[in-house]
Amino acid sequence: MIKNKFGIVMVLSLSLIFGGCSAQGSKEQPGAGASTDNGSGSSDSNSQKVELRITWWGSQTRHDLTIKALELFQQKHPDIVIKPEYSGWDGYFDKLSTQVAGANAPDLIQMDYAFLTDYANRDALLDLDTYTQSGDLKIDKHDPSMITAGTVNDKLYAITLGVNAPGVVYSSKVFKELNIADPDTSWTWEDFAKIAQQIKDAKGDGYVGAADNSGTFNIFQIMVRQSGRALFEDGQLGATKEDFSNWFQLWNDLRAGGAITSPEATATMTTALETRPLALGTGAMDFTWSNQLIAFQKAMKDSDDLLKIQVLPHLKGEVKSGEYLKPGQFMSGYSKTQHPKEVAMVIDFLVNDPEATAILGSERGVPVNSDIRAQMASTLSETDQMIFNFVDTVAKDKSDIDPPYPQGFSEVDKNFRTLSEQIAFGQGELSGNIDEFMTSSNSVLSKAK
Amino acid sequence: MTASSMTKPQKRSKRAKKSAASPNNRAALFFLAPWLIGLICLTLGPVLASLYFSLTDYSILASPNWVGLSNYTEMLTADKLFGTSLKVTFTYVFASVPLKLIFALGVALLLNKGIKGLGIYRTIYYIPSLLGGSIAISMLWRKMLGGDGLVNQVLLKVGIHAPDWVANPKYALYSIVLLSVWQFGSSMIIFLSGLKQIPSDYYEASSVDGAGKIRQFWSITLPILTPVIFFNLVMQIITSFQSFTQAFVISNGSGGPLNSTLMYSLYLYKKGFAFFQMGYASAMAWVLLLIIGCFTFIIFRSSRGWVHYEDGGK
Repeated sequence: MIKNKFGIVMVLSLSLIFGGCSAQGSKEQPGAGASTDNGSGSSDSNSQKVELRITWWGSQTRHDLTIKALELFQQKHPDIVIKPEYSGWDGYFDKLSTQVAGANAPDLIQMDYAFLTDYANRDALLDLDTYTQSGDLKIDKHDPSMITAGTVNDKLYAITLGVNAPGVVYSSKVFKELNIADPDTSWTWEDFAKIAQQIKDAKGDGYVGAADNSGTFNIFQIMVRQSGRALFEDGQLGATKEDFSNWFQLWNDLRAGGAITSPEATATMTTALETRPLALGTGAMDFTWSNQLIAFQKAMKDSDDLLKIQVLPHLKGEVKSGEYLKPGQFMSGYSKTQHPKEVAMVIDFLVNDPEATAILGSERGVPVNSDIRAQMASTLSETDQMIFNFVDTVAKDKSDIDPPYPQGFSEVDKNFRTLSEQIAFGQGELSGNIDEFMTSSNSVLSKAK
Repeated sequence: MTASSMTKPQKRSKRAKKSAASPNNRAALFFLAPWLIGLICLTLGPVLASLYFSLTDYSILASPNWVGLSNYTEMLTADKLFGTSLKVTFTYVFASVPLKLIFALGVALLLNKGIKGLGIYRTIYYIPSLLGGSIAISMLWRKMLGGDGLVNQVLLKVGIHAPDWVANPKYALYSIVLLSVWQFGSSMIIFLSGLKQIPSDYYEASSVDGAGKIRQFWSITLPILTPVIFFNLVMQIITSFQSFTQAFVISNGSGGPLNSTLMYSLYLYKKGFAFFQMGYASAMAWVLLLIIGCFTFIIFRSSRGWVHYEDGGK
């Protein structure tokens, strides 16, 4: 009798626990069942919807536009449900690597040039060649250089969503107010420094000429390129000690004159555009990717202030142009997706569909599909127009993009930021700090190889 | 947590083995089953896996290769940031734990004065403990202590130009210490219940003998409270060593400015998930376990000297 009671309680308590597990499991079943629907459509195909997860990073503007485009896709394909998972840049790849490790990554993954090789080499991404051959994913109108950029070991893993170039973004209002001429494409780092100081002197305390970007590795990279070197060569630092000291000296001089943000203010800036001095109305210049001009414009506290963009300043006597065209973001498939064909369809839709690309505009960069570019040209907004023109300008005077960053890049990138903070807060001495950074980075890089 | 959960299962499973023969205790085993299954699958499994990974170069995306003890040797000999993160964490633990306990005890003493609406106060002071670990509170804290945050605006009103507390490498860690002290609620509740257990005749007797309030505190309250202090101390040390969220949010995940908030677990997380060195991160986790284990051991050992049990510790 007593045993029976125990038995009942046991069953009840266990069923409570395992009930919880199975409830979660059953949620995923419709998706798993739907994987068979490539074949003959069964009678109850309505209930068997294909469910896809998609992830991307970006600003609120991008979230809104992408969700809108995905809704349009679902209207056209009622049998496919797309669940978006979006976030800012910070932490995006932390989360993605965890999901890949847990074999639970989204079906569609927005990928960055810096990480593409890593993920492709580790078989995390879907080989898209099958689908370009089957016609589910059309790439014949795409820029060949962008197809190359998405190819690793002769396999196409990623489709470029937009073409970008780095530039200096500035407030046209402040430039006009202070009678500063718009910089032209031939401006130098000295011009940049002079303008920043001029703005600071005219506007007084609480306003800076530019945001301190001394810790932004990929802007430093431009200066290294201008000296004819690459940031990384053969899996080690390609930049010389002189490159580092020139770079930090430039920013040190600006800091001494108060022309850039204070070390403390710089520490509070993140990649979120809302935190940048330009957006907050406390600074006149910043560095950004051309496509971010749209989000930057939307993040402006003073919405009347029209942002403009110019190429990065040149180095006096530079060896080559540091500017380059970059595949802004890629869209990739997850190698373990249950619905590779549908994944290819969504990617195709995002880059080739006239309506979808009209919604997305050039928020991720100038579209790669030449037909779409031609079609959009007539309906561009002022900011979009500026981005198109800017990318055209860069296309005329650029050098080739460097190969993707080597493994270990993220750790070196973090250390570079720390180095810039050491210098800004005046901890230690410039030359010694640089030496230490270079040694530790090279050791990180050789270990990661 | 890790330290305590390591010792517990051993004891229990021994006990369970001894008694498995008797049918009456089979039921007990059944009731324990959900917990045991959970422990083995969700705690013990991952713990052992991490021990294995700590001896490999596992990078999340690629499969692990055996590297022996090289993760450990690199940590102790070559990795400067490892030293930095230890320094930050020790500073944090040694600043926040005593402050928090003193604060908790102080508030508990005040609340023990038999004031009206004790329940309400107790709840209000406990709320930060519930919310404190959350992302939202850390964000709020960052805003409040930021350059033009609430705190600095108030200071400006009285003519003080204060720095940006969370962005200045000198103060950033202490703003996190402050946030942790603010979450004194759970320790306070435990102190409060400890205080309630002290028989009031002790105080009456001592006041007849002419002892003042301060004298009573040192000679009656504090000694009787030592077991509670001991408990709170151990718990706080263990959780403080593992502190992560606040530093992560306040520094935007960077441990900055200038690595001044690079807590041990934040660095461990960065190594594992941002730099793809999960093997190294696993090794760091085991070193942290050792450190926490050592501290807990030292406190337990020293407790014989200063913890006073009324029943003589039986």
